[in-house]
Order: sequence, then C-alpha cells, then structure tokens
Amino acid sequence: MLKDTVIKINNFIGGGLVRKFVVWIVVIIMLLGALTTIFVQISLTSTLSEELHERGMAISRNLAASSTEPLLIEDTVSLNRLIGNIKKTEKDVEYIFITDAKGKVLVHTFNAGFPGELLTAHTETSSSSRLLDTGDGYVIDFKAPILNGRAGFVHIGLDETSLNEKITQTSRIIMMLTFIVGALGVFMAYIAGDYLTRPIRALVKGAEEIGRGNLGYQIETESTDEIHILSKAFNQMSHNLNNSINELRTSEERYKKLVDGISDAVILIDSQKNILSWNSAAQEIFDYSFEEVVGKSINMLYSPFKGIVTDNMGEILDGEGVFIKKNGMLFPGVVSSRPLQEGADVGRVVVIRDITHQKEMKKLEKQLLQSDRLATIGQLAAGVAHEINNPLANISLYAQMLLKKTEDENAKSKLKTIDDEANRAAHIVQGLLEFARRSELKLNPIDINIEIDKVLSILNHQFNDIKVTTLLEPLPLIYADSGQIRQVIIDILTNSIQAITKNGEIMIRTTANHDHIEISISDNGYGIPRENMDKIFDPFFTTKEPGEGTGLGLSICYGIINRHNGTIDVRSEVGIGTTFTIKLPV
Amino acid sequence: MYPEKSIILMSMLLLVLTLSGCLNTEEAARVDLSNRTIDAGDNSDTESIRIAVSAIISPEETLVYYQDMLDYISEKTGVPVKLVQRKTYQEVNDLIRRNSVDAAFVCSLAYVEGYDQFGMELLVVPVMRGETYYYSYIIVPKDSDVNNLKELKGKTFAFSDPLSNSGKLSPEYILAQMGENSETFFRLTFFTYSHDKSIEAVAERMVDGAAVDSLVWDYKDTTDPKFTSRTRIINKSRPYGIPPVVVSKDIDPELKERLKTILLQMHEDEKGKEILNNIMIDRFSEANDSLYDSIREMKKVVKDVKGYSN
Repeated sequence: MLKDTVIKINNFIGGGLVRKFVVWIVVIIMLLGALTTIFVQISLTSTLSEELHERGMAISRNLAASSTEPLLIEDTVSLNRLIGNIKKTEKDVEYIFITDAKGKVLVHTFNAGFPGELLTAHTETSSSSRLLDTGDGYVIDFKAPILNGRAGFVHIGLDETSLNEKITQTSRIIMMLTFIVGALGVFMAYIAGDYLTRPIRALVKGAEEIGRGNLGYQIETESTDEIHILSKAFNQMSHNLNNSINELRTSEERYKKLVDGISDAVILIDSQKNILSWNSAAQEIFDYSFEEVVGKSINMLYSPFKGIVTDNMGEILDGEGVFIKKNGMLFPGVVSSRPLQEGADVGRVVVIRDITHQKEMKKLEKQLLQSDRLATIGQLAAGVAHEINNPLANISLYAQMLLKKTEDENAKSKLKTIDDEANRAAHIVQGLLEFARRSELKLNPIDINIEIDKVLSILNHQFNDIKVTTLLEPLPLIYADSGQIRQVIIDILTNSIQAITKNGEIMIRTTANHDHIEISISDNGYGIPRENMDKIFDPFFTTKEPGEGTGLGLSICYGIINRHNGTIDVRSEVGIGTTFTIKLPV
Repeated sequence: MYPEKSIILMSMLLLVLTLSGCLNTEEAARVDLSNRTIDAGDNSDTESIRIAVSAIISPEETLVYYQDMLDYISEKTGVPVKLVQRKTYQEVNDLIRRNSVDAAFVCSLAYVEGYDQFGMELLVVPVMRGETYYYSYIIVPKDSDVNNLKELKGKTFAFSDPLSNSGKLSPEYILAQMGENSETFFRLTFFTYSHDKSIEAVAERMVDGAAVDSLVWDYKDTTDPKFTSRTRIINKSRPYGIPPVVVSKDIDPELKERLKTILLQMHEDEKGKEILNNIMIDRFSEANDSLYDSIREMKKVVKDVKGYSN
C-alpha cells in the first residue's frame, strides 16, 4: 500500500536519482515544517491562551478582592479609580465592569453607556472565562465573584488579538524558516544527491560500457560503503567476464581453424534442418556465402532431382548423394551426420565430402583401360583383317568365276553361298578396319542438328509406334565427318529401337556448351544391366542371338567419336531406360 | 526539475500550513459592544427597606454576618431589604440624619453622637451572652512583652473608627485618666475602620497594640481564632452599653413598629433563632437610652482633656 504510493510518487516525480532525492528531501522538510508549525501553533495557542486566562483570572480575582470594600460601602469613586488604573496598566484589557449581586452595573470603563448585551453574555456565577465575539475581534470575558457573588461580580475583557498576533508572527517565522531550510535543503540535497549518486552513475556507465562490449571495464571508487563493495564486485565481474570471453574466443578460434582446416563441408543444422553454421570448406564447395544459407534448410544443397535428403523418418541419410552448387552444377558427395547431442533432437553435424574428383579418376582409369584394350584389339584385328582381306578376295573371285562356268544348279547355289559368305566376311573385316582407324576422316564443318534431321528422315519408318521427341538447341558448326557421325547416331538409335518393347519414347537433345556440344539420346527401353555396362563398347560384345548382330556397332561408334576427340557415355538403369551422351569438341 | 509538479507539492503544503492557522477551540458568543444601553451608577431602590450596618467589623464580614438577617427581615416584611455600608461611622450617621436609611446597626458612641446631634432613635439592642453590655479590649501581639497600656508608650496603636466607643473613646479615656493623650503617648496612631482589621493588624504585628470591641474579639475568638489567637488582651474596660439598632427620627412609625416587632420576635421562630445564633446574639430586646450614659461621661472627660469634638 505505502510501497505502491511511494512508487506512484516516484513515477510522478520522474527523472533521475538526484531529482528524486531532492524532491523527497524537500517534501520531508516541508512536511516537518508544516507539522512543526501546527504543533507550535497548537502548543503556543494553548500556552498563550492559558497564560492569558491565568492573567485574566488573576486580574479579575485581585480586582474582586480589592473592590470588595469600596463596593460594599458604595464607594464608586474608588471603584472607578481602581478599574481605571487596571485598564491603564494592564495590557490587552478591553473593558472592566463591576456588577452588584443582582447584576446591576455599578462601574465600567466604557466611555459612553454600557452595552446591555454584555450583561447577559457571561452569566456563570463562579470564577470563569467566556470567549466573546465582538465583531471587531475576540474578547475573553473573565468573571470573578466578589464575596462568592454575594457582593457582586467583576468582569474583565481581555483582547485576544495580541495573542493571535503573537501566534501568527511565530507561525510566520517558522514558515519562513521552513522555506529557508527547504531552499537550503534543495541546494544541499542536490549536492548530497550528486555526491551520493556519483558511484551509482559510475556503475551505470560501467554497465553500459560492458553492454557495449567493452569487457573488462573497471570502475574507480573512492568510497568505502556498500557502493564500494558493489563496485568491487562489478570490477571483479567485469574482469572475469573479460577473461572468460577471451578464453572462449581463443577456444572458438581454435575450433574454427580446426573445422576450417577440414576439406569436407561441415554443416551445423538445427532440429528443423536449418543451417546454423558451416566451415570455410563448405563455403568453397557450395560457393554460397554464409549469409545466403544461414537459417535456410539444408535441402537447398541437395540436387532437387537426385538428392535424397531424408528417409521416411525425416532423418538425414548417410551415404552417397548428389548436391547442387550455387551455379547449378551438380556434384556427387558422401554424407555422414551425427547428432549434436546424443539422445536429444537439437540438431546435427552434417559432413559432406565432394567425391567428384574420385569419380572422375575412376572413370578416367576405366576409359584408359578400355581404349588400351580397344587399341590392342584394333591392332590385332587390323593385322588379321589385312591378312584375311586377300584370301577373302580370292575366295570371292574364284567363286564368281566358277559360278559363271558351271551349269549345275546345285553347284550354283553353293557357289553363291560361298560368295555371299566371303562378302559378309569382307564386310566384317571392313568394319574391323574402320574400328582400327584404318579409314580416313573426311572433316567438314557440319551442323549436327541437320545430320540428326537427315538420320531421322531415313529411319522414319523404322520407329513404328515409338514417339520421338527432339529438343535441338542451335549449335555451332563443328569439324566432323558427317557420314561417320550419321552412322554413330543411326547405330545408337537402332540400339534404342531394339531396346524398346512397348510405348516407346526416344528423346534426342542437343546442347551447346562453351567448348563442346552435347548430344544425348534417351530411351525408355529395358536398359542395360549393370554387369554389362563396362563391356558395351567392346567389339563383338552383343546380347543378341548369334548371327543377328556383329557386336561391332557401339565399338565402331566409340572409335568414331574417339577419333573426333569426343567422348561417348552411357547411363542406364534396367527397367527405366538408357541415355547415351556424346560430347564433341567445337 | 519540472516546476509544475513542484508547485503542486508546495501548494499542498501551503494549504496544510494555512489550515493549521485556523485552529480555534472555544466557540465565541456574539456580543455587540456598540449598543450602549445602560447607565452606570443607577442605584435607586425606591421600593426597598434600606438598613445600614456600621463597619464595626469590616464590610466584607458585615455582609457575611448580616445578609441573612436582612434577608430574614425582607422575608418578614415582604419588601426587599438593602444592606447599606459605609466606610466610617460618621457616614452612616449622616445617612440616618438624612433619613437615607430606614434603620441602622451602629456603634454605641455613634448612637450617642447621633442622639445628641439629631435625635437618632434607639430601636432595639442585641442581647449577647445574656448581657446588653460590651467592653473595650486593649490587645497586643501574643508574644509581645507589653503587659499594660502604659508599656505601649512610644509604640504604634490602631483605633478602629473616630466614632467608635470601644475602639477609640475608651482607650482615649484610659489615657486621659493617666494624664496622657493618644497623639503624644503613641508614636503613631491610625484608623482601621473596623475591629476585625484592628485584630488582624495586631496579629500580623503591623501595630504594637489596638483597641477593639469585645463582642468582635470574642466572636472571632470563638468562630475563627486565626488572628485572635495571635493576640493577647492586656486591658479590659468597664462595661459599656451594647451597640444598638437605631432608626431615624423621621422614620415612618408603622415601619418602625414592624421592624421592632420582627427583631424582638426573631429569636422565637426557628429560622430567626438560627440566624441570631450564627452571630452569637441571644435575642433583641428593648433598651433605654440611659444604657449609654457611661459613654457620655467618658466623652465628656476625654473632650475636656484634649478638646475632643465629636
């Protein structure tokens, strides 16, 4: 209750400590002054009026005593002299009159006639006083009986004005003193308040400094009181804080260096999988600035097509994944994550290792191995082909000669078979020679898109129900052997057509990059089993029945593209389809 | 510091201070002093019987002792009775001479003078302790080494009233017989104008001796020996006629008779008896002027010695 009031008053006062101090001091001084004034006035009033009463009583009783005899012997001259003297010598005497026992006025000090009302104003028969309001002021009428009232009564009227004047004057002095003390109080309270609050202000400044980050700020104090203890505690706290923060900073820096030293992306995420922090390797790998990723979901780093972020339970899956850089480039990576705190879902540390390089190395190695093998096969085949070419030519020649000379139909048909088989063998040998770079490249500037269109127009009636979609970007002209390129496209398309069983779809895309063009041909056929993937470019590898294909088609394609300094790639999944990607340098 | 808030606080304080100045405890009665309606000194009491009492004892004591008796008379006559007092016996005698009072209690010598000068009439005399006589006592302070009047020579002496028998004439007479007179015998004399004051003056050793009425001394010694106990009687005079109640010779005879009857019968009723007892009077009785011849004798002697003229 009181506390509330004080708080209210403090709010009402407003401002700082010094002001509150000053206002309270003044209020207290003024209250004390008022109380003192009231007290003094009350006590002074009672003392003075008591004194006045005593004086009035004394005068009236004395007069009663001394007027007894003159009154009894009807000596009005003496009585008049008596009351006249008293009125002259005694202060504040407004009037004196004496009545006989029956209340008849015998003598009085009024100049002309006696006011009749005064006789009835104070009728008590014992010695007493009565306050009268004369209109001009207050008069106390003191009445003293003469011989117990048997001889008469003395009345003396004492003016209260001088008493009130004294009280008023005293009150005025006290009030003035109160105001002087109040003024002094303001001055001294201001000085004292300023002095007393100086250490508090120093504390406030210190707190502000620390709040601003100026840790270790020290306050200077001179006093020895509680404020000093507080200041010391504050300084200690400031010092400790500074030390702790420095230690923390050192530790943090150390850990940052440690984490930054890791070449893998280390990403800290919260329970909602939002990125809290990451290391500099992560920044390098993904090419985002920290500001761009902080607070965002880690999903943004996963490739939207390939990346599998979480399992059904919403947990991040460890293992391989595909990630996307800021520039849209995808790259393979290995994820491993650990919870920040065991048994509590407060977030995880996710480590992503970019394995692009590893993958490329592996692929290169494979390619190297393949071309090595193919080169060996090629050389062998070329040698064999060269040696076989002449015998085959002789077989075919002699078969034809015999064909012309014989009339025997049975013999004719057998000779024809010999000639056909010889020609087929020669054709295979030709193929081998082509694969073995035996044929020359006829390089001309060509538009691959036009070549694709030509191929499609030739193969048009082979597609039957297969839906062929082309997405051909405008391409720069490249130097290439148009016939051979056409053969490659035909071979791949033929493979696709053969792979498609029903509801076939073939998608042909060309894209131009800054140093190469890309042709990709996708189908939704039955795909290539994983175990065959490494062998599909090998000569004579075929999944067809013997006699249906030579198994040379894709290895010839490989040879052609290779001789154009390009690459040919295949990606395939059983049941989904196969995509061949050809890259040719511009 | 914002001034407006401070002003509110200050004015609250001032209000408190101002209110505190308005404290007054007693309710005053309204009196208009300007309406002067009464003239002072208007002392006419035409309808009342005026009875004077000489200051044998002081006026205060007189009032105390005689008021009851006067009230009694008032009751009996059905007319208000006013007590009239004067400082000296002479003034009372003058009132009687002018017929300003209807009756008076006077000193024996005053009666003698009044009788001789203007025919003051004797109404009744009180009977005290069965006697109609009284004496003059010469008293000194109790521890005084004075044992007779002679030894008071060169001392101070108090008379009561010039017209007092016991307080003036009697001692003068004794001195005259000794061949002295008061003016030369005493170092200093003065009048107290009442016997009780003379007793008090001796008791308080304001004077070395005084002559007092035996009736007063005895009465005081019986009722209130505060002062008498501190005095000692060194001389008792021969008996004198007791101070009487007198009337003017011009009094209405009917009133004179009524007063006389009331006083003479006063001891017969219960209330009257009590009043008389209080002032040690047995009753009132009729008396003859010859009762005071001894005083007339003394007066003559004293007059012869020092030309005493009253």
